[in-house]
Amino acid sequence: MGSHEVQEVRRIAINMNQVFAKMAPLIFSTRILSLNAQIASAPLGYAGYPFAVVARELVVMSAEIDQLVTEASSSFCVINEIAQTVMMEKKLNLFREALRHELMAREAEGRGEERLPCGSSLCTFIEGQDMALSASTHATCSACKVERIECTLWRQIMKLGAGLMENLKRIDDLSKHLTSLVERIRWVAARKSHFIGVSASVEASRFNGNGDSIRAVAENITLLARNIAAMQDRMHEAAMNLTQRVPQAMEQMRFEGVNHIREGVAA
Amino acid sequence: MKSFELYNKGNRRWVVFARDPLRPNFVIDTNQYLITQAGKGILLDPGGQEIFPAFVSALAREISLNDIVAIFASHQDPDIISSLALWLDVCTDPPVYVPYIWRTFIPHFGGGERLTSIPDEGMALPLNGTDDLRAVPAHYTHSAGNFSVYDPTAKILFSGDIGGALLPADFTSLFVENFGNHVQYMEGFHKRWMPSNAAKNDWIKRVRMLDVNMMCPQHGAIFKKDDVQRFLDWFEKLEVGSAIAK
Ligand SMILES: [Fe+2]
Ligand SMILES: [Fe+2]
Repeated sequence: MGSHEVQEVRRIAINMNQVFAKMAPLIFSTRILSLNAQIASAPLGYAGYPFAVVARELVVMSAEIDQLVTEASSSFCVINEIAQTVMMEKKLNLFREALRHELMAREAEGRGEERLPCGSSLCTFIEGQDMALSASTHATCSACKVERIECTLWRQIMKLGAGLMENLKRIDDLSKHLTSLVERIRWVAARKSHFIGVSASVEASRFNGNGDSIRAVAENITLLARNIAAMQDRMHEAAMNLTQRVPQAMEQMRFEGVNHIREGVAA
Repeated sequence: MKSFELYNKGNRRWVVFARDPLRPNFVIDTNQYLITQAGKGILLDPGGQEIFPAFVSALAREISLNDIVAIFASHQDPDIISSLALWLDVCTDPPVYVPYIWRTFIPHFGGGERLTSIPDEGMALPLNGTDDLRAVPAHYTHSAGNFSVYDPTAKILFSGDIGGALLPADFTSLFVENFGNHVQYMEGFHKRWMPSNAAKNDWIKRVRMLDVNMMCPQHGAIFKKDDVQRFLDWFEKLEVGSAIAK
């Protein structure tokens, strides 16, 4: 069984966490690079000043990205929530399976058509809107043991289903927050890193002969800027994916419970 | 999963749940037991998560889940009690008796702080106003903290993994019918799963003092009176702990 969409949400969220983890070394490299840039520009005195300014910009940018990524990672209890969905889903499936066994056993006993004390069949009972409430009403019926087990199982299914929905709702909120953070990271990283990369090369090109070390640093800065841009693209993609998938997963959760029981009854 | 009544006299009843034709092959086959006293029941080793769906449905045919008033776990194994969290969801707050050494291990399957410890020397398991059911020490056979359950009223001994057999698919009988033939299904299991000859003999000594009409293991077939004695004699001679190089 297992709901495909919930699994997909899980996969994306785990993926996203990995992207965040990969940002840390990039931020570290930015710091080292800006240090190198300052060291390279120091002996050039006043001539190296514009390059030193670019290097300082690099530090500012890396600090900014660092802060955003830290905020994003700490709000990333999505993984926590996801872990909970794994457990709840496992339980939910076992209770659904139990209900299916119950229906099969009833069918085998030739009591497939049996009505609940209220006169409805299990199918219509399940399609009723206030399922948890009807289940608790029937649970008090002492006429027949069979009704009680259905109700008990159904109540657990409803409870877990509702819990899972709540869980997905929290994942939804978190993923929206995350998307906005990722947007900001994207802005800082894409615009600034590109600008810094270009400025660094322009500044470096003004030095001939003794500008070797500066040119090397500038090349590295450009490369790093590109890496950061690529990383934030992946981050953005994952965040967008997550926000799109969560509502689908929630939708699937809503239907799966009822459908599964229907299939059980039909089988 | 099918249910079979093993004993029904006065207010006491024993039912075994076994031989599930739909059991997935990747889990070892297990027997689950229900003892009732005037309609209220205790579950002995309710089993693993994977068999919960089939078992809960079969059980509901014998007793209302509201009337399950206790759960007993002979030891900590997953085939014994990994379904615990699910049972606690559908039963009304039953006490869960577990060997004290596993008191903080079993909550990894659920149950949190509500488990009741059975001390090493064993204890009476109360059931609906009676206290004749006894948790009998069976430590190191195979688990380091392990109990059998003896019912002096029905003269039935629930022996947990002791007496267990890994049966071939075509063995459909609930009972041991030919002890000599049955040995082949038990021998490897006891030699490898049981770690200690001293522990094994201690358990045999305890059981020899009891009046046992039927011995019910958690795996395989059930032993009736004479076969119980045959089993004890056979087990006494068996060298266990086979994984240790001699
Ligand atoms: Fe075991
Ligand atoms: Fe076992």
